[in-house]
Amino acid sequence: MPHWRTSRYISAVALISLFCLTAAAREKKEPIPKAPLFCGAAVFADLSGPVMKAVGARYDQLEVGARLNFRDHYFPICELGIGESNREGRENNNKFHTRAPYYRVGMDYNLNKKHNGNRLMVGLRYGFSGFKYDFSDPDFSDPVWKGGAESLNMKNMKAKTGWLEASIGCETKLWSFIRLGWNIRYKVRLHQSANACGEPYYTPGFGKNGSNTFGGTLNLIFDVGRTTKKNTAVEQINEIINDKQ
Amino acid sequence: MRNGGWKKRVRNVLGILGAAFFFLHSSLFIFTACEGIDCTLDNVVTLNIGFYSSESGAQVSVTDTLNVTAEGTDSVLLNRGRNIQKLTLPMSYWQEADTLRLKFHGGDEDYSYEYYIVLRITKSNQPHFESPDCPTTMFHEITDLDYDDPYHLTDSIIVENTDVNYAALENIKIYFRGSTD
Repeated sequence: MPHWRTSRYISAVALISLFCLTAAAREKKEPIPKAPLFCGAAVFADLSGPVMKAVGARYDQLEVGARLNFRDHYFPICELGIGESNREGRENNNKFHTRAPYYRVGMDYNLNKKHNGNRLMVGLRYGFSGFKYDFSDPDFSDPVWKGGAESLNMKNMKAKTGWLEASIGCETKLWSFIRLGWNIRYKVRLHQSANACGEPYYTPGFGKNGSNTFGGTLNLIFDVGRTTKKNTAVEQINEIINDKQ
Repeated sequence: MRNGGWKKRVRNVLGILGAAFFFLHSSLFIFTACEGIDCTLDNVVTLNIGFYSSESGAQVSVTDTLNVTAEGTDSVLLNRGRNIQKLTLPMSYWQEADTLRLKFHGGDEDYSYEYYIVLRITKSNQPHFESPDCPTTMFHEITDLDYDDPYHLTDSIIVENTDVNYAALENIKIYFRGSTD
């Protein structure tokens, strides 16, 4: 399937989700109680990384993160993970390998004005990874002069990459302090320094190397701290308002 | 929790799980199925040499038969070339310098001649890769050029561009005395 068709497909999924949530939000217009300034914090883990590893994707990552919650709308966020790629050429014996940490900081904004546990999030993040990568070609030999090395084996080449991510996603409460959410992200590479021999095939946290790419996460989220009590109070108010109608 | 709230919660969870299914479905397309092979099409690295007239500065054709050989290999890099304006030659992967011998043959049954020029090109070698799917190549940077022209065929030989890579720019210009066209 061509890349543009995939992009269009994902965009359609995102738009449908956006439409459903905004339509649901328009159903009832009631005065919305204001959430407290600090609504708590949350930690989360990305479930898509282990799935990618299980299905044998060309690269995968293990990612966790934490965020704060202000007014149930503003979510300063930081994410860190370990990205890994072991990639072999499809028509040759070339091998690429890297395994390194990455970091992201940014902010999510909840578009859902109701404090009912559902959130439609848009966000912006800056990601960074400094890493080393290996590349080998066991069949690299001079076709004319012969002699010299019969293979190429380059290890520990250094690279640094920074990128910007724009995300859209949604999340809901599963039970008590446990939430489930997903988002898709459009990533734009801002800067990269790499070995003169060649750029890395994969950048941890960014994905397949290039000027831009798509990605996403499926997060299992655990509210911690004051979140449970405060949000429960707010949600109880909402439920009472809904039940009166 | 009241009955309506419970139903709403179940609806929300089913909604988010459905969306997650679509998301994972899309992700698998991205990560495992839709990756193309994006290799540079012009992925041949050659040393490019152009022939010019020292009088006009214009590019000229060598009407003599031209053979190009190199020290360190039995391969003939160019065999019996005629009306050659430029050469595209491979460079060694690992040697510090390549020595090329350009032999010009001419004449007829009654009279024949043979001249030659020897180029010694000192260079650095740098492996280059783009992706595991793409062929690995060797880029070079010309650091010095020395030549031997015992028959005084040339006016000058200069390095025009030091980088030998996918850009395929002209690297060396050979200015012949008078006109060989």
